[in-house]
Amino acid sequence: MTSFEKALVLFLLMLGIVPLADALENETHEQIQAAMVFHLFNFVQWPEKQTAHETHRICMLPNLLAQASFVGLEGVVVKSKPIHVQTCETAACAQDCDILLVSQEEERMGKILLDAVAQNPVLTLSIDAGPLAAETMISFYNENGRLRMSTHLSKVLKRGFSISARMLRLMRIVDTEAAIHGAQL
Amino acid sequence: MQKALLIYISAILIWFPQAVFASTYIASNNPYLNMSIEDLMQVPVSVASKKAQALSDTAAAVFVLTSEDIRKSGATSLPEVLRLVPGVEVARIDGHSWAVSARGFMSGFSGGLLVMVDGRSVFTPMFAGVYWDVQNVMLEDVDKIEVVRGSGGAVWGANAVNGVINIITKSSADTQGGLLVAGAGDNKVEKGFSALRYGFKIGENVSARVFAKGFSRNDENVRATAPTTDWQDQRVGFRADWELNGSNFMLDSVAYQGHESTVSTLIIPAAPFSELVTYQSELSGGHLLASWQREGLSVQTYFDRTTRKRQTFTEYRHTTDFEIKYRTQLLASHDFQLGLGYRKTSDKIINTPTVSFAPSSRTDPFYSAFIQDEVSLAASLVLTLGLKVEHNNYSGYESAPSIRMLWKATDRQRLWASVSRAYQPPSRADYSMSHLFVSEPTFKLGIVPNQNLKSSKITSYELGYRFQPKESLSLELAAYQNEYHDLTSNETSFDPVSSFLSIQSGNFLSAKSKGVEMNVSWQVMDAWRLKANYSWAKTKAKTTGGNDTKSVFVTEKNVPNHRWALISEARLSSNVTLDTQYYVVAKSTARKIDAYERLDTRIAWQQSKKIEFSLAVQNVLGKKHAEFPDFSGDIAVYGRSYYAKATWEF
Repeated sequence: MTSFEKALVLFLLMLGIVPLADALENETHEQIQAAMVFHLFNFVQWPEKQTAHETHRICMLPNLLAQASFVGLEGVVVKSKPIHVQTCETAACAQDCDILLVSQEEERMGKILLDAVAQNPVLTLSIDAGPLAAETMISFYNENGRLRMSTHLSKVLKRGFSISARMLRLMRIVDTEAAIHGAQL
Repeated sequence: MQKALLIYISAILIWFPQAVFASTYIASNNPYLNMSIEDLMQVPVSVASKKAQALSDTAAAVFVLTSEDIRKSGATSLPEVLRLVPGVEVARIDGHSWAVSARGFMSGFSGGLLVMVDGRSVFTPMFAGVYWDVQNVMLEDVDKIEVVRGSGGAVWGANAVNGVINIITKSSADTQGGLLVAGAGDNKVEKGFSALRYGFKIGENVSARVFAKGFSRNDENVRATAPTTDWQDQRVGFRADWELNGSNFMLDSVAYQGHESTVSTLIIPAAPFSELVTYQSELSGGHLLASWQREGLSVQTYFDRTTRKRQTFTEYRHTTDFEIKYRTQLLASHDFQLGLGYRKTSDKIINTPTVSFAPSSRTDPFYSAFIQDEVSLAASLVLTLGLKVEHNNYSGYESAPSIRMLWKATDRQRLWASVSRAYQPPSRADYSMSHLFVSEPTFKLGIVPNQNLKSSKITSYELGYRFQPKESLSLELAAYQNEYHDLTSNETSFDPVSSFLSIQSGNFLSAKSKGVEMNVSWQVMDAWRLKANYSWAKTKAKTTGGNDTKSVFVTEKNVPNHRWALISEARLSSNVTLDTQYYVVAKSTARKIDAYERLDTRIAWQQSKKIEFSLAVQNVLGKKHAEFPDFSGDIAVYGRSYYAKATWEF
């Protein structure tokens, strides 16, 4: 192999650092997000209709599947049922999920899926504080270097979900009292 | 075709598993699943920007060393700091001399490199290079070192053939209070050093600093029966900065003196026909620099004095320089600069029977003018046209044009290309020096001057790519092809009447060099940064006349083809850091230097906010190696050495 060819291989190798760096940089952030999503199954009560599934289904757009920590929830057992992680790009698929994850990276498609599940018992969750956070029931945000969750409690209640008091104490509720009261009626 | 396929498959096999590895490793190892929701919300997640290096919009191969990079390197001299720069080759000659080059053509005088400190050129016309042994700036006061690899004649003028190194010191406003530095080494290289600097305010708009520093170093090279040589330097200086009504005024001055001894091989007429001798040199000098800047107008002037007393000859040199630059926006898309410069350098040489200059004193004025237009052709496309014209007493009028193009392909990618020309006038030594090596009744050998020498010229074609896929990661690639004409060759002639074999510089050498430089910087995590760089270069040379039979080989085989570097900067705890540099340099056939590797490391303990202790070890692996021969062909060999240092801010 000539020197130039060796240099070319080296350059391609250096480029290979990019996906590794991409993964490692957000390691802690992603893992904590995944762990919090995992805990939702403990602290959120789904409407009875939705509990007939054999697995806890977490659905997301393909871009989020690259977030390795969510994939790592596959097979993890919570409340006697394993978690299944899958991608969804159609309304029919999204309507059959327990949790739907969206992010601002796929804003257009995310909005389509959110509209599709508007009347379904699907817990919608935005992994960032982007434009879709206002459309989802729960969203992640960062406060002083710590990961937090906020909730549109009115949306949660209208769909028949309930969140335990323990978790609600840790969340920021973005609804007004009137909106929450209206949802409970 | 098969090789290309092999390369492609190899790259995929190397690249793909890394991404998969990262994914599967992280996915299957989430330690946070076992934490309570309350505890999860207490775990800190980093959101601070982890910039590796800002994406530069310069259409050239630029690298910037920050003051932090310099501190972490553990280097105690400027040439050693420059090892960190990708594409720059640094090789130690002896205890006080280095060969520094970019893109080939290394010599002990760093010809082809324009080196400046705060805009003051430290180039010596004596040997068309740099006396690195007197460039002992206080490294703690260096703000940054900008290195441009490649031809920079259009902006910087003569001698910016293979690169420009601009050392910029901190404003006195940024160095307020006291700083005391002291250290000692194992006597193999460092013996002892100290520096004291104090910055203060004079009124509301004026700041200043004064400093004094000194060191004593050994040359631990192992040469059979050679005595250990030494090098001492002491200097004092000050800097003052005024800021008033939009104008910035700076005054800077340094005075130094030093002493160094050099071991070299002397040719003698009787058996064994050579012997090792130790030369003593006394060095002294200083400068006074003043600059003024307001909006687009800048004016700078300096006076520089140098004295070098060697056993071969003594050089006294005065240099006066004046430069004015103006920058303005012409029309909406033209960033226009023009400048005028004048430099006068005068020397007086005390000749000896061995080395003599004719004339023994000489004054040379240099006149220059430059113009540059940076045109925004589109939002993402910038064209820069530049031209510098100079006049010197050696080669008359010279011009250095350049065309550069930068394309901001995306927010995170830059592509640039350039074609430029630069030149290097003959040196005073090539023009005027006679050096007699052997003087016997039956045979004489020596160097004779050539007053018909022309300047060496380079035409440079460059292509570069920068990619910053994320805040914490940056990649840079540069490729070049240089065409050199009228390079200095060594022509011999024999006069049978006087039995004199003379060597005279000629311009009968041309060369083509090409190379690739790669650089990666990755902030792996908050506490760890990794950098890696690789450079490859190849040179082909040929004679265009004359009778030089060796320069082609030396030119082609002087610079190592490959050079790797891996640099790690790690914070082990809140007050302990570990910084490591690993270099691998290929062999140099012409220099008879084998390939070598070198590992340097520095560990520092921040005992309190104001006090730091550090230990630096050079060549940790302990493998003795040589890097560059001296002018008599001797090769010094270096092993492991270390020093300890304390820094106190008050």
